[in-house]
Amino acid sequence: MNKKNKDGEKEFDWYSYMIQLEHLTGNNVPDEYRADVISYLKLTKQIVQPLLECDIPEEFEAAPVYRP
Amino acid sequence: MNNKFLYKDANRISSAVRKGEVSAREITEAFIQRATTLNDKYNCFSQFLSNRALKEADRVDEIIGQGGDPGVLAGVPYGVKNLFDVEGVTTLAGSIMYKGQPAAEKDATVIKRLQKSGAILIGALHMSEFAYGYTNENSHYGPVKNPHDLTRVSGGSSGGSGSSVAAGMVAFSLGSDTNGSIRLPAALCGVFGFKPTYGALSRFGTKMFASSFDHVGPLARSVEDIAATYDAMCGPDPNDPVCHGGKFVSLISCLNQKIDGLRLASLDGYFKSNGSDESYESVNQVCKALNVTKSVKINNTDSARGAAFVITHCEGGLEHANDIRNNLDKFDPTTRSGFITGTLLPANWYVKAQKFRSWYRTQVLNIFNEFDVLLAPATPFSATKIGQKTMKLDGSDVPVLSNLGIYAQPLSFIGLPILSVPIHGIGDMPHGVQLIAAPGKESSLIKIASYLQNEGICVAPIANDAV
Repeated sequence: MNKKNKDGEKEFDWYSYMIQLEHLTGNNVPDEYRADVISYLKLTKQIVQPLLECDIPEEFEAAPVYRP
Repeated sequence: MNNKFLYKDANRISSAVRKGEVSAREITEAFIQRATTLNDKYNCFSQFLSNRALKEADRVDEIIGQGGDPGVLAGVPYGVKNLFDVEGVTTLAGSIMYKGQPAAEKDATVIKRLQKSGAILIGALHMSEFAYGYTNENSHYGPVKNPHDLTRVSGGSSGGSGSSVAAGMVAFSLGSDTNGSIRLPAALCGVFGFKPTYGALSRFGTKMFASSFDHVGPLARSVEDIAATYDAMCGPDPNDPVCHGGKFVSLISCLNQKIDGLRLASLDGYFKSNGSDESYESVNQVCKALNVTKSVKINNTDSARGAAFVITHCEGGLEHANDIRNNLDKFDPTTRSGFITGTLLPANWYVKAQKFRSWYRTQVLNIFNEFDVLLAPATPFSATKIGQKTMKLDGSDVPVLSNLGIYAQPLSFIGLPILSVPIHGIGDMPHGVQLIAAPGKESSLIKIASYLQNEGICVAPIANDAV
């Protein structure tokens, strides 16, 4: 889900991502709030990046563990 | 009444009431008068509960009159963040969305327990909307001001809880902590703030933000009061599925104990970067007083912050899914984008964050095999100006809102008990130092904090402006 920026470089298209997720989740983000949400998504990505790059040993289960 | 009791901590007030030196009604009337007068200045209270408070006070006096024991917090006035249910009061959680909703039918569990201990609830306190935000600049109700400097923020999200204690409007208060919301206002307002082990105190009757992170706890001006209020609130509660009640050790019994056997270290790496010199100096001052020479590093702490961020937003987004669908325009502009974002994040981020949580927890618990108490700054900088968006750190401008909680978030992420102790005299504003222990080891924190208080290192005077 990339688009070209004004310098012709590829970058992630947060606007399209947000629109598609809106459809999938049934949440409508009105136009007046979209710029703020995109800024927040970008901030989230920046804060989450170390987690995404982190290798977690396979033996660890996601918490909480489901116990029937 | 003799105003000398207005400036005393809960321990001293309770002692005087139980000895009959002053009545609970006199104390309550004096505190209500003081708090209502000061509220125009600090904006701490969203609602005063004078009738209820006087009834509770009369009940305490009646028990004393009959020769009974009204409890360890007899006649002690306190306030609660307005996300706690109070019988007959609509729970606002800092929002305007719930204003028209019915009043709560009963008190939150911890409020009931405080009542049984003789404490007097005088009002509900302002907070960041839905406990989301570190500065307590609530667009609906206005910012809660810092009693040490009215132009500065109180910290959030339990800003009313921190400011009211620092201003001496109450002897103690209750707050909630998801990612730092007790510790931050405690640090910025210069008081003690205690986030016990996850599940130690019941959250039944509180409006949740992110359930797997949500804790409740006290803010106060002395270690004695932190211990006494915790003891009064402790215990299992079947109404809160995560409340195990802790392995009860009376924290009052941990005051003034020897600390020789406790192994201490300061946190290195992540916790010694991205902060101000003053925040590091606060930790150094505590380390010097405790003769701490060792330091230890928790690996992957930046990932922990990221994981906490993802889980919080996903849980918060789900908690407020109906509000997002039906009341989006009524959100505080400072929280709206965050809650919407929580509904838009990819599932694999969430699952990875949960998996990381298990791993990180194991790593940190291993450190507690070597050390009993760890030390770190509570915040990277002291209270910022109201309206201030960025802060200069290491020559760069960083956003205040997303950076104020960087030292708090990776620790509450795994439910550790943490006591933020106040440091005054480094720069113009107070700072906080986090004392961190293994789950269930609250007693170690109280021993260390009690020592630091007795040595005069960590004290929480009422702000000069409010005296």
